[in-house]
This record gives sequence, structure tokens and C-alpha cells, in this order.
Amino acid sequence: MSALTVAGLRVAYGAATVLHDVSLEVRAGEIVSVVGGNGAGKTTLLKTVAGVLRPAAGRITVGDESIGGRPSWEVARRGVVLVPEGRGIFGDQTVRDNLRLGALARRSAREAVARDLDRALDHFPALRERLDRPAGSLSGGQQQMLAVARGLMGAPRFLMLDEPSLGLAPILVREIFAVIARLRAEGVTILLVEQMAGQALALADRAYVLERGRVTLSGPAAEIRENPAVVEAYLGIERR
Amino acid sequence: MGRIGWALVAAAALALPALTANTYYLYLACSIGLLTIVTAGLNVLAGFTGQISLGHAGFYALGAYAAGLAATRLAAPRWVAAVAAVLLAALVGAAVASAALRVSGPYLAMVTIAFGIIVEHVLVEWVSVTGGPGGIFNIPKLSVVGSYWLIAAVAAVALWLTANLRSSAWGRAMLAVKSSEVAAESLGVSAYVVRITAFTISAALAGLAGALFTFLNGYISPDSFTLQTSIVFLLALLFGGLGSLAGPLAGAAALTVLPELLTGLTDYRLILYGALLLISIYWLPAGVVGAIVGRGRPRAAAAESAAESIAAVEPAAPGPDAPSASEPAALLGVERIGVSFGGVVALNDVTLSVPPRHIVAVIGPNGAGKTTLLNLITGYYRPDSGAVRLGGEAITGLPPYAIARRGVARTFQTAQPFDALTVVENVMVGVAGARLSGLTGALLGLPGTRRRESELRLRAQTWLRMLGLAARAEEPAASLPAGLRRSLEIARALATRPRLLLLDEPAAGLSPTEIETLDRRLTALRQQDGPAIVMVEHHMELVMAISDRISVLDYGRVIATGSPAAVRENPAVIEAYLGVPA
Repeated sequence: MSALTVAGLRVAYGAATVLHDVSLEVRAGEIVSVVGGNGAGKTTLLKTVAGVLRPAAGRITVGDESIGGRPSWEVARRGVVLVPEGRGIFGDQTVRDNLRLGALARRSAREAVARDLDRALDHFPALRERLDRPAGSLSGGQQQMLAVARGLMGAPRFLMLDEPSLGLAPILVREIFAVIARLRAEGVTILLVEQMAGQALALADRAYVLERGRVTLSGPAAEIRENPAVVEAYLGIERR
Repeated sequence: MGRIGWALVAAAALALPALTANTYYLYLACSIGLLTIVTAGLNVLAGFTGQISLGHAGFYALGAYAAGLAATRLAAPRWVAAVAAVLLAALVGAAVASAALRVSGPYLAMVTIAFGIIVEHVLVEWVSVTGGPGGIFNIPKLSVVGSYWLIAAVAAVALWLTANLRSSAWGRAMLAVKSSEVAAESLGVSAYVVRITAFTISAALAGLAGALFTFLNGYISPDSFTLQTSIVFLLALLFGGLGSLAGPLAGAAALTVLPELLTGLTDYRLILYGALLLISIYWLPAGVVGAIVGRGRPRAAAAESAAESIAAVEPAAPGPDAPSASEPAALLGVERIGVSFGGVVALNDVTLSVPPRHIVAVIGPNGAGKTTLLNLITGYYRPDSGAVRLGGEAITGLPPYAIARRGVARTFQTAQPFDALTVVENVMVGVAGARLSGLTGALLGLPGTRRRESELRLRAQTWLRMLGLAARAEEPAASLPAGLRRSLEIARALATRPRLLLLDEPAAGLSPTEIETLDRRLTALRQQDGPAIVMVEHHMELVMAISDRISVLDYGRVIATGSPAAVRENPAVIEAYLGVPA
């Protein structure tokens, strides 16, 4: 069954169309990776699914419910969580409060939230030591971890990650990809946008290549990874 | 508003006295003109630098009373009285600004409210000079038609001056300070000086309008200069369109005519103002002018493909001034620096030395203090101990713009382009740096300033070509995707022709192919006698490929320093940072 279906999606900022007729599908339990250069429309795609941007045309379905054009807070309450590019953490609040806010849309029992908090911190031990510090005092990389951890607090059925490895040290990049793999094992469906395309494709089940707002290639991640045009344009030195 | 729009407004203004001899309409037009002059000035402060004043009725009053007193007590000719009014308002404006602009945003608004109230009370209480609540009367008046021509001409000049200012280095510096004060200072622009200048210009124009108000009415009293007047000034600007050049005119017309149409509802005037404010916030966030102009304006085509952005590096970029032979071995010397925040030690005894034209990478786990180190070098933080030297000179404790002026440029971990400016204008701020040149030339659009403008633009375009951004030069910087925002920031930093360039994670958010391009660009830069570079970066391929030396930070200490080959083998580095050998 498909967790997310996007059909004929068109998104524009004013007169500039950023996504043209984009269709894609993410099946339950999959990791699907979207690959593309800067300005291809990857972030726009995720923001539109999350309800931050309104589509000009097209359908977005999560499970069997249409969510296209709904406001982002309604989308979030359906377990569709976006970890945005650029972190967007609440700098004046403590790390703990940032994480709790991630669980706000769920309206779950205290115990469940406490358990998830513990689990999120297991993924990112560096945050545990800093629970009562204001999030703004964290380093850039730590804020990135916090953003991902806060996303997990939403108990996502469907998780969208926009460049989760941004600004992380190599040891943590490996860690974050391991976390993503663990999440899939726990049954979370994931749509992943990542500039480290090689690592993203190694982890993903399927992938879409987005160029200038259009899907130009799609298929099993292993095949996309071997495609000479993709290697040339997006993998570069990572493969050497 | 295009040329046609301005031509229509000018034609209407010229035709009005011929169309009607009714002094009521002419007086109304005069009021629009006066409000336009004040809001044009306020637009420089609020629209360009983003600072709100709720005390401009105070400057309006200073101008009015200065002119009134000069004309009555000293029997000075009108032009002398007007000049005195402008000078007094500007002088007091500069004084208020240099004290008040240590704060900004809502705090500045509070301070200006206080200023306005103080002026109002002085007018009431200082009876021997101001005439107290009764004010000053029997001031030699101009005829309504004469006033009309004078006010219309001054309003046109005021709009013209602000338009010139907007397209000058000063105007760009103001918008840059509004977009990101931190980034503006990193280019050598002193945000404080820029804001004081904007505040003074707005005070001077308010003073001039006050003098004209006096000549129009022949009678002034404190009732005309209350807090409500200040609010109307700001509201006219917001309603017309903050930051747009025609906004002051549109807002002034609306805020003058609407209350007149509803004269039967005088008691409800405040409700009308409140409603207008809500209307502009809900439906006209860019004002009347923004709503008209913004519709259907085509945006330049987006999305440069990956292939295009890999365009070959053009070696045409100007190199920095040749280093003199006497330059000491180390360009940058960070000596045993330490800093802690709220008891948490961020950096401890860190030493770093960067020779000219070398590329030094600083790597380490997240939270190790890498960005803190850059912030210490560039003056955003002050070290608790130790010293930073640049070319032998101690720069510890200097403010960021002063350090930038000594040849240190930087980028930020989260790119901070000036969103209120276009791509090319962003780089022009860098090219100009601290050298904003004469304010008079900027306001009057003198030929020298214009020549310099085209030079700045030309040089900025060279840097854009080098960073693969030439095709998007005229787009608003806000429309760039994340990766290109970083490229823009590098172009802007290089445009200051620094001796030392600090890059905070330049490759974050770039695809591997784009990282290769960055690698080529940085290498080319070095071959062209470019700046020394200190780079904080996590992409090991890039770090290993271009660094001459690497310093590794962990928990605020340097745990290793050496060549890339030595560092990648270092067991402590592998343990703390790499995880497996790179």
C-alpha cells in the first residue's frame, strides 16, 4: 500500500513555476530518496507535501486521505512530519522543550511522550547532556541533531528529511544514516532529500531524480546509483 | 511605479492649480505634499534600515517652530528660516540617534515616543519662547497657490533624493543592515553609522516639512505635533508601501483624503486609522504600491541546472593587492585564545597560525568550538584570554566592521545574503565595503557617484561570473536556493578583496559535483594570489584535497595540527572525529 502518492503536482512562487507535473509514490515501510542539484525543487516538494506551500495543481494523498492544500498543522497531526532544511529550532527554549514541542500535535499520553523522548535521546546522546541548555547555545551540528530528534517526537508515520546530514561531522553523518536505517526497521516510511547522494542511494529502496522541477528518472535506488548520467551529475567525488 | 506612473502624477500636480481655484482643494494638496515629504524621509529610516520611529512629530515640530521663530523674532527671510529648520532638526536627529540607536527595533520605537512627548511638553511649557499652548501666530504667510508650488516642488525633490539614495552604495548599505546586521558588519559596514545617517536624513526632511507647514498656515501650536501625528506619519508609510519609492506619496494621499471624505466622523478618526493599519497588515503587506506593482511582474526563470553551475572558473577576477615583501610570516596569528560562555568553556588555549595564501582547515566534532573560533577572529565574540593578530597587528576586541576593514572577510554557517537586495547588489555591498563615498553625491545622484556605481556593478559581475551566478544577477537574493546562497556569500566576501577569508562550512548543502566545483574555485583562487583561507568544513574529500594544513578541535582544544596526510592517520582524530580513516 502506498504511504504517499503525489500526482501531477505543480508548484509556483509567483510567476516562477518550480515544480512541473511531478508524480511520485512512496510505499509503506520504504525509504525513497530524491536526488537533484541546487534549485531543482527538492525542498519545494517536501514543503508542499508538508502543507507549508500550497500546490497550484495536482493531488497529494497520504494513506487514503487527500492532504493537498491543507495547512501544515493539520498535515502534521496526521503523522506526516517534515524535518526542515536549516533546522528551524526554537533557540530561546531548552533542548527538552524543543523536543516536547515536537510531540505537541500528537496529543498523546505523558508516558508515551516521555518514552519517545528517551528513545530520541538514545539516537543522539550528545543532546542528553544538554537537555536544559537553550537550543540556541548548541553548535550548528547539534542543532541539526535536535531538528531530527524533534521530528521523531512527532511519532511520524511518514517522515520527510531535508538534508539531515547538513553540517554534521563525518562520524555523525554515519550515525544519522544509521538512525534512518533503524527508523525504517521500526516501520517508519521515509522520504529523504540529501546532497550526499551516494550514501542516500545506498540506503534507499527507490529513488527519483529531480531536474529543473521535473522527474527525469526513477527506479530502484541500486539502479539509479549505477546510472552513468547520475554518477556524472550528482555523485562525483563521493564515488571515487 | 514606472515612468508613466510618475509622469501622470507630475502632470496632475502641474494641472491642479489651473483646474481649480478652490483653496480648500489646494490646501488639501499641500497637506498631501507635506505628508509626502515626511514619509519619504521616514521611508529611509523604516523602509531602508528597518527601524521604526514613533517620534517624528517631534522633528516636524522642531522645524515648524524654528522657522516660525526665525521668521517672527529675527525677521529672517523664509529661505533662511527653512535652512535653520532643517539644520536644527538634523542636528537634534543626529544627537537623538547616536544615543537612541544603541537600541533598535521596539526599544527604539519606545525611545522615539519619549522624544516626541518631551518635545510636545517643551512646546507647551516653555511659554517665553514657544508661546505655550497658544503657539505662535502672525507668521508671514505664503499664498495658498505659492505654498502649493513650493511644497509640490520640495516633495518631488524629496522623492527624487530618496530614489537616488536607494540606488547608491549608501542605500544598499542601509538595506543590507536591515536584512542582516551581522553580515553587513562582516563587510566593513558599520551598522551604527548607517542607522544614524538614515535617522538624520529622516529628521531633516521632517524638519523641512515642518517649516513649510509654518509658512502655509502662518500659525502653529502644540496641537499639531502630538503622538497621534507621529502615528499618522508611520501609518501613511505602512499603508503606502514600506521601502517602495512611491509608497510615501500613495500613503500620504490616502491618509489625507480619507479623513476629509469622512469629516462627519471626525470623532472616529482613530478608529479609521486603526482600520487602515489592519487593512494594510492583512491585505496589503507591501502597501498600496506593492499590491499594484507586485501583480504579474514576471520573475526571471529559476533553476540553473547542475551542469550550468559547473561552468568553468573564469580567471578574470581581480586579485587582492600584492602582499608587500615585509609581510610577516604569519598573516593570522591566534595566540592561546580562550573563551567561556556562562561557565561552559568553549575554547581553551587555542593557537592557530595562517601564513599568507595558505588554506588551513579547522575540523572537529560538532560543538567542538569551530564556529566560535571564527567568531572570535572576526570580532563577534571577545576572548577571555589570549590574542588575535593580523599581519602583526593585534585585533583582539575590535568590533567586526573594524576587523573587516583590515582585510578579513567571512561567510556564515547559515548563509546570510541580504534578502532585500538583488544578487548583484549583494556583491556590490561587498565591493564597496566601508567605502560608501559621499552622502551628498548619493542623495543628488551626482555624475561622479553614478560613474562609481557602474564600476561597482562591473566588478560585482566579475565575481558573480566566477561563482557561477552571473545568470541570476538581477534576481532577488531571497529567491536563490540554499546552495547558491552560499555561493553568493562567497562572492560577496571575495568582493571585499580580503587578505584573509574565513569560510564556515562552505560545502554544506552542496552536491558532490558542486563540491568539486567549489574545490576548483578555491584552488584557482589560490593560484591567482588570492587570500589566505581558514575553512571550517566536514567534507573530508574537500578538506584533504585543498588544505595545506589542518587543525583539529575537540572540546575546545586543539588535539592535532599538521598536514592532511598526518592528520588523517592521527589516532586521536580518528577516534574523535573521523570514525574510520578518511
